[in-house]
Amino acid sequence: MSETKKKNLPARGWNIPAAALALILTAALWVTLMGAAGLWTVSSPRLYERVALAQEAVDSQMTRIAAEIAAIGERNGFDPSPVAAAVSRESVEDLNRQVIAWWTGFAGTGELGDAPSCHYDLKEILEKDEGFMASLEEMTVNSTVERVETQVDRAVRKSAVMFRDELIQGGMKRVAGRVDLPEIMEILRRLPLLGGAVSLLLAGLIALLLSRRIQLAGQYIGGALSGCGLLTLLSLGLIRALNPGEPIGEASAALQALYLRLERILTLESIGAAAFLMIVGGLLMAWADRTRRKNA
Amino acid sequence: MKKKAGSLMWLTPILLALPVAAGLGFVWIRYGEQVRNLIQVAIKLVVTK
Repeated sequence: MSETKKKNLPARGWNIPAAALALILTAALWVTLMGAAGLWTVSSPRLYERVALAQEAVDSQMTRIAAEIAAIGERNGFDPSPVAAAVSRESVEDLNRQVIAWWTGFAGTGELGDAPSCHYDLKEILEKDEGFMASLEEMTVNSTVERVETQVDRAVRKSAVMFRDELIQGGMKRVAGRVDLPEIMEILRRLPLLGGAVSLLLAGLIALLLSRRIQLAGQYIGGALSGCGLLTLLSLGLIRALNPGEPIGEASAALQALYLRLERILTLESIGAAAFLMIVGGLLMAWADRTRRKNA
Repeated sequence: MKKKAGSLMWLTPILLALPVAAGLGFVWIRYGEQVRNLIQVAIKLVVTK
């Protein structure tokens, strides 16, 4: 063996620590990716807008609102069509935006802003409903109109905020008061950065260990990258196997539709796509180094 | 001999992912059902009908 070729070879023993470091690198990359994905999932307004402001999501919301208003109309004896027409698509989308800002604000900073609300002024519309007005005594007109307005407001709000009122008013405020959410969020925000820094350090250490045959480092680092991609796909598969969509569907079909849309975006587009790219990128990195080694 | 070792290059990611995957699999088998039940109870508590 020539002197140059001998120089390019690492001592055989270096492969063991390099493999151990690559194993830790795989886990560190996985923690980084899952941490970043988790943080993005709880605090990205754009992600929620894609889920809650999608045309089909708002369509089904409008259908549910119309059905609720029809039931309120039947209970109170008014024609529901003009009332349902007063609840515009834009106002519902605006309420959805309020919910997104409220939730991502809470998840991002730990500060609980005012709960999302909406109000529809229905007095003029109901006064034009002669049959309804005739059924009321003059003294009760205002209170009945107010009652209908409250019921319609609640129906629209319920279509956007599917959580119990007492949870929003009491539970979340208590949580925000007792737990230092900003600090927890700060740790969560730092987790991907810390994981990324540790990953870089480990990759550097592998390169340093195998500096006498640097090409081999590519195989370990590429392997760790692909391994992380495989782990991420496995994690997504396990979440799917847990199937949280089913119990969500038992509690609320509307919430299940939103969850399934979110799951599709995460699995197929963002996290799933990142995992796939990591597998391909890692294998290419390892393959390129192997080819370079063979040609050297 | 060298060529044979190189041809198993695709195994590296699997070998690296295997220990963590085994840990994840263990947690899933051991606690999966409990996590599922917890999700079910939590959702019933927070979602309005």
